[in-house]
Amino acid sequence: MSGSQRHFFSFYRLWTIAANTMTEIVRQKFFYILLLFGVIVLILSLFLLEFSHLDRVKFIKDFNLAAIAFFGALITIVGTAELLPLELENRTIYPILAKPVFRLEFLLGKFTGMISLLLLTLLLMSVIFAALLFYTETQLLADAMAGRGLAEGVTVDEAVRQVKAQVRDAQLFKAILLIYFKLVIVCAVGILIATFATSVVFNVICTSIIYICGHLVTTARAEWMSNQTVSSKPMLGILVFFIPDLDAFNIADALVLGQSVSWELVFQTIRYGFFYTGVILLVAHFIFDSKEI
Amino acid sequence: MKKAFLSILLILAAAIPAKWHLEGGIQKKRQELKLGGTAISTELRSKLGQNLAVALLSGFRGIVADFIWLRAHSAWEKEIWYKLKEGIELAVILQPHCISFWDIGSWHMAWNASYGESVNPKYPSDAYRLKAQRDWIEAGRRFLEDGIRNNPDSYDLYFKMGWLIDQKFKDFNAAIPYLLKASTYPEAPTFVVRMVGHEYVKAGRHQEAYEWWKKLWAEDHEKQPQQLWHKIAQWGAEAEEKLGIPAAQRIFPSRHKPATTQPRK
Repeated sequence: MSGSQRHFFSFYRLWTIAANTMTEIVRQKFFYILLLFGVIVLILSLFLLEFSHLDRVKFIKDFNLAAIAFFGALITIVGTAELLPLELENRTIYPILAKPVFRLEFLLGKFTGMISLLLLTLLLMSVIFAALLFYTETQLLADAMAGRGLAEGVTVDEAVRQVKAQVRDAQLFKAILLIYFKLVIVCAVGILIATFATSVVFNVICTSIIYICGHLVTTARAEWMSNQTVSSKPMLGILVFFIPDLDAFNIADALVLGQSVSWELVFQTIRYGFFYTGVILLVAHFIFDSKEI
Repeated sequence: MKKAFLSILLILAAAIPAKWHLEGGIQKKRQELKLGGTAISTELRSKLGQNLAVALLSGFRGIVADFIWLRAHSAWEKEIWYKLKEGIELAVILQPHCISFWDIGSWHMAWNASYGESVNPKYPSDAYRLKAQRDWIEAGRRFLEDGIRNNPDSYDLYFKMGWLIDQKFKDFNAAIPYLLKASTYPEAPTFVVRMVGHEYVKAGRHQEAYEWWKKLWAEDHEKQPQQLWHKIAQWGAEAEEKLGIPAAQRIFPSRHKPATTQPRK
């Protein structure tokens, strides 16, 4: 941005770009298709339940949380990958940057738009998840009231209490919250790659690989600290020092099994999420700022 | 460009130690809370197969464990016992804190597989069948022991161990400590507490059974409306009868003698 008039960073301009980004993504087919598939898979869990012979509540929680994380990640990876390359390809970035808009505003606007849309997507999926849990609870309570499937010695009151305690688990909110912050990091990674990549496919592949590697950081960290083999150390080092530890955001398995996860750990993890997102966006800003457009 | 490169280097130099520190703190807290399952090893990956391994690497441990469990379930339906055991053991490696995996897994081994082997016509004689049956019961017991070691805070597995020893080994005295332990957990359902008394009776330890019923009877009835107080009264009265407790010292209302002081005609 140049000229005699001095401009400052504007949240209004940032939000305008963010709102525009949301509209852009929502208008794309991939978003509808992935969201539709996500919703179908969530509902499918009810039918899979009939064949599963598993603990019904555990299965429905496992399946739905996995589906939310999976489709959330897909939408994030594909959506973010298209943000900058499409702007360049369609040449829509040029009139924007020709206006008094900082590149940082543009970058953060794109990022904010994506994570806002992600928030809405996860909210929608969570509402469906809650409805499925409510439906399952209704069925289980009806079974318990009728005395069906009661273990020997268990009274109806005890069975009803157990069902309610198992289904109405407010801790699940923590799991969804951390899934969201994990996806925020993935979104930032996607934006970073988009600043130097020109191909959408390249971006999708790179972000997916980082997403998978991100779940191996804990294992790599333990291996790096114990392994004395020189040959594997550099590879492990890249994982340990540069890739975000996405497994740290996974508390869903523990919560489904009834383990308690403190708010302290949740906030600690969110803080890590903010830190990592900040660092990635800063690096992305420097790359994007020095890019000749 | 050079300026940007230097700025990025500076950011990374500051961020890497901070990342190490923050991750270390989270890992420490997670270990304190016993979160997560066994680390992903090459052996575990090869056991899972390609698709499930990728799912596991992407952070979907719970759903992978559920699908492994489904595979074990279909092995049960086909009565392929070694595959059943393999699946169950893999599921608990992935989710060692899933109580139902330990509980149902030990039941599959000690009840289903042991019975299946006891009537297996492929064995040349009954002696082989008996040995195979006993091996599976023992496998179920060992499996539950591992479960208890991994989940010492769960009443359920202690109760199941007591029940297994009762039903499969008929060693009522050995079952009592497990049932007693299970009954100490505040979240244990009322039948767990009652089971201790029954086990004392089965073991022929009537005096201890009577003490147990008395202990339960002394608890606040209002606080535990779901407890079967009329049954405890009945079992307590039976114990008094069996032990020949003098009428004046009896505390349980007898079935034959109503609680009122009306004299018997």
